[in-house]
Amino acid sequence: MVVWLAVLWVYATQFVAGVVVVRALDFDGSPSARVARALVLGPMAVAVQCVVYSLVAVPWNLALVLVPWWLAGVAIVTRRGIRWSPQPRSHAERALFAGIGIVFALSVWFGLSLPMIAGDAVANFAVFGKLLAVHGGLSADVLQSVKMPGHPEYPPLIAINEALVFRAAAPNGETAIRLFFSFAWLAFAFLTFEAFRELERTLAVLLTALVVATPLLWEFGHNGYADLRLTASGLLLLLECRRWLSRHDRRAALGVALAAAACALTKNEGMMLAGAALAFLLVTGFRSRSLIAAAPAALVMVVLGGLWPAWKLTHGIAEPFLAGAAEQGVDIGRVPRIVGFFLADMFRSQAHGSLSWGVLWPLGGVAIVVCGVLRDRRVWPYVIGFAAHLGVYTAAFVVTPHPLEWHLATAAPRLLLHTLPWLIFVLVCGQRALADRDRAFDEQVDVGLAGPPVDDGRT
Amino acid sequence: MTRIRWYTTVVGACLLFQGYQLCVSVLGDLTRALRDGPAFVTDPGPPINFERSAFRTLKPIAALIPPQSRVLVVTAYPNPTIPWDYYFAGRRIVFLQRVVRASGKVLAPALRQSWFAWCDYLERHHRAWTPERQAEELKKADYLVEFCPGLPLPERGLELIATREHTRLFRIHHKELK
Repeated sequence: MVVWLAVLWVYATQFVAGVVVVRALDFDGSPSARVARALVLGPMAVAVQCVVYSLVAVPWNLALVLVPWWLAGVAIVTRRGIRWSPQPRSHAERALFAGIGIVFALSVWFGLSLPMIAGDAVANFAVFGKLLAVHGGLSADVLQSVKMPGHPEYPPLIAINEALVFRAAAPNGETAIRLFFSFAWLAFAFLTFEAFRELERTLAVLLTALVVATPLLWEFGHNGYADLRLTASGLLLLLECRRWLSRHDRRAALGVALAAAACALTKNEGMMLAGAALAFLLVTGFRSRSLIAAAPAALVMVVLGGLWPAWKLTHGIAEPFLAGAAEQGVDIGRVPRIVGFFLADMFRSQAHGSLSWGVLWPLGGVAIVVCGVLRDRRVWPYVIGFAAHLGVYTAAFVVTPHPLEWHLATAAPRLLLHTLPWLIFVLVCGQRALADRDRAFDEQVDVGLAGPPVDDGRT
Repeated sequence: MTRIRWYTTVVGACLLFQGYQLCVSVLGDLTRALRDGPAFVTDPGPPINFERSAFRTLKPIAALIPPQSRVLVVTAYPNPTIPWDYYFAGRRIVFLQRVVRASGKVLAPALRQSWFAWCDYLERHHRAWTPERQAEELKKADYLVEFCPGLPLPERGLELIATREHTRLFRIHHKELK
């Protein structure tokens, strides 16, 4: 019982750290949007804190890591108060949140019924988490000792947060760490709703439910892989970039920077997203003459995103994929097979399998066709973003030193998951194009029914 | 009152399909967890990638070993996703894990079957694996299953171990043969 209270304390602190960050940013969104941000940014903040502790040789004692966040929470609430401001919800929205709550509860229950068993989840993250917990900090020697099955070069956000759970949970750690991934699912669900909120309410609810009901997301909500957390961070990054475009101020820029840092610290693929976000922030800041707002955020992004690569470089942890890729060389002949594999995976639908996308990608294709037919150009930035994102992954497969078929089978579904934020906004654009056309049609009908204005002699 | 547009109906229909798929996945997982409990962990299920290789390899090897035997498995990677207990059911398994640095220096052993156990072991003992230690375990074992003998272990990933010719990767020794 005491052990589980300690585990809860760790998870609560990860959330409180996020609340502190969100409150410091003075983010003014809905409660679910703020909870989602806290769930994404909290573990990032804790990971940064632990890396800094290691740099200055402070051991990862639970109290030393966790208590400062509670003190910061109390300080910020005392100074700025609690901003909750619940908004009136429709019946459909209440039903959606109830559904999300039920699936989340089932995910927690299912996660806690089994220890972590999936191969990469164990070898790439959980073992490192356990090792860091045992060692009480980052250690190049300790990480190198398991480089054969695992990847000590992977960014440490997952491993560090799991390490704290291992420290709290002792023998139950292999099971207790699963909760971390259910929280990523919850954050993704709330962020998806935020993305669809610009649509008509019922449609937003239906589309959110459609996306979060994807079986593959359920699977990644407890299997211990970093990919759903990266997808949630990527979606947050896209939302923050849109926010930055609508209001070029420092807080919006900082939102972009922190979401990018969360991506960079979660997976190597997130480094790429962070790099793209940095370029986006600087270019748009320059073009809108908001470079003064963008520059400090860019600096924050470089410092937080560069924390792990700098640590790796200074501790001699190599990137084996790049070395292997250099040896392998470029094989352009692989491209049709790679693209074909991605396309086939988009349409994968299994009656009893959890790695199914259902109707999600076909629906995205329909949305693009709709936008093309209705000449709605707002969809193209997202289509281009998706193509560029998948293009980079295709390039990685072109030079992969691993057997191609094996690498595609093991990595392609996960990589496709990373591109989900683009698909969500493609769906938004498709629905918006249809709604705009209907509105224009309705207005024409209304004008037609009303007929020409009649001069009744009173004017 | 808001009109229900045709595309809202289409999205609703898609949601029904998606929801059905989710229910099948969730109920399938929960039913298995409830029905099988901890055994679910060792249920090989539909083998994929290296699990499939392990399935093809471990099953015939395990069949050669009589029940109640004490089996020493020497491996660089006692992956918990490989259902060792399932295939070696009825046999007493002891794992001796060799984790070797690139330099060839042996770093640490584990006597149980998962990396987590290795971490626990590291935490408690942190002592080097030695040939004497293996010899000591061999005295007590009826059978030795040596995982991936003859290959330089440190630089080999699991996929390499599992996708090579399995008969050469798993060598089974009866105690009398030693």
